[in-house]
Amino acid sequence: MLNEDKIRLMCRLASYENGEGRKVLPITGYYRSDYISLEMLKSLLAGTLAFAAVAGVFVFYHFEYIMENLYRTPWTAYIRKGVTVYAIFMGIYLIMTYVLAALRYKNAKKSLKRYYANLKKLWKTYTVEKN
Amino acid sequence: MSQIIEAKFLIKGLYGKYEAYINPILKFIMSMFLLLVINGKIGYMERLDKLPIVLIAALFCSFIPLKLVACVYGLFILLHMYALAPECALVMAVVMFLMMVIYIRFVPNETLVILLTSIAYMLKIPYVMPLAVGLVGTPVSAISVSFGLCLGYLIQYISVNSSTILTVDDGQMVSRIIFMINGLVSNKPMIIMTVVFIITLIMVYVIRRLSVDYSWAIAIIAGGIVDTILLLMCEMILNPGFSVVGILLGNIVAIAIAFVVLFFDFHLDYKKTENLQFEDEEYYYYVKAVPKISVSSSNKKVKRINSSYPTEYVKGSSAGRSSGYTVKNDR
Repeated sequence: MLNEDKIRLMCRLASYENGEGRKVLPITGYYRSDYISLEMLKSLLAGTLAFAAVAGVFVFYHFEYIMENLYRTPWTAYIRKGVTVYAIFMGIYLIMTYVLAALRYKNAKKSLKRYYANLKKLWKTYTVEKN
Repeated sequence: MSQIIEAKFLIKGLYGKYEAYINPILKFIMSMFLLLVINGKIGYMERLDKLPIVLIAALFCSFIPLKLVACVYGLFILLHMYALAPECALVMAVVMFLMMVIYIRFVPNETLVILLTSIAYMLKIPYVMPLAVGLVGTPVSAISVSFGLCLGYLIQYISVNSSTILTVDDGQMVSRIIFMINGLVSNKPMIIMTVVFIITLIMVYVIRRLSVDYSWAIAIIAGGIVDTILLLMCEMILNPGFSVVGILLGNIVAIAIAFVVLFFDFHLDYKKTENLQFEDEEYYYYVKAVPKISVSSSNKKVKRINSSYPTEYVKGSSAGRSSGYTVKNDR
């Protein structure tokens, strides 16, 4: 026979898994440190690519000057400057990533609490049925 | 007023019930409109600037998620730019890539705000974005609106200066890129409008969250007024070349559109029909969960029971549940 309470609970669980849970469940599959590290690794790659794109445009913008002063330009100083700018940019970007990832993980855990509570209730209906 | 509220709940109810059909139709109409606007403004690639192509693309957009729809719009813009000059497409691609890698990666849902802002700019009503996004978004959306404005200004710049881009320095690649970067970096109107929009958006957001009556309506009107005053002041002091009539009319239209957004504030209590599938050890369940409509329309009978008026009459949905009334639902 159909157990209406059980169906209601399963509906709630399925609705969560299809909606909010779709974003939350993959996050909570990781340990906090693993999730944050992975996000920071992704940011390192993304930030480096973005910086390379901007640097490429910058080189194009000053292409004429660079070609004219190819042998007179103090390249070491420029490269040092570039590396410093890259380090500052990546520092800020990685800090932002850390804060955001930590916040997202915390919210995901919080959101999962209700899901686990419903799962527990569902488990109880099974134990009641067995008894 | 009660009739308006009834209409609103009726529309919400219908939307919740037939969401599976209405969403693709809405996406189709929106995509069709936006792609036609893009083609109208920067239709440099003749193959794309044809109605059958737009129809096919819009049809495709109606069945894919909104994030991918935004990618289709972006692809259209890039292809048109490529047809004008590959350098244009390169600069545009770099700008889009930066937005995607640095920002959209964290907030993928904001992609549409960026594209809508750029399209609203092309339609000369960018003023609607800080008001509408301030109402339905968060302060983070200010970044999306800024990026959208930047994209809109770049498209406009390329569209206006297309002949110059083709002829600058005999069409040398580096010169074209420099010309476009100059247009993007030293664009005074863009910078001013971005700053004003950020201030307006945050102000609308803060006011609409205040716990006062009509905070949403106050937020819209105050946002519109502040936006107008700031832009007019900037025009007088810094002279970036804004059209005064454009600012005034644009903000009036923006306030009207923001009120429409307020009317359809779906994000507050919107529930949609859900089709769920699950199983236990005995059954497979295919459940269709339909949301209840919280206000039923004029078929409510209100009967006064403790006063000297024995008449029974029909009253609208706003009928109070105050003492002396019982509400009998005939549905």
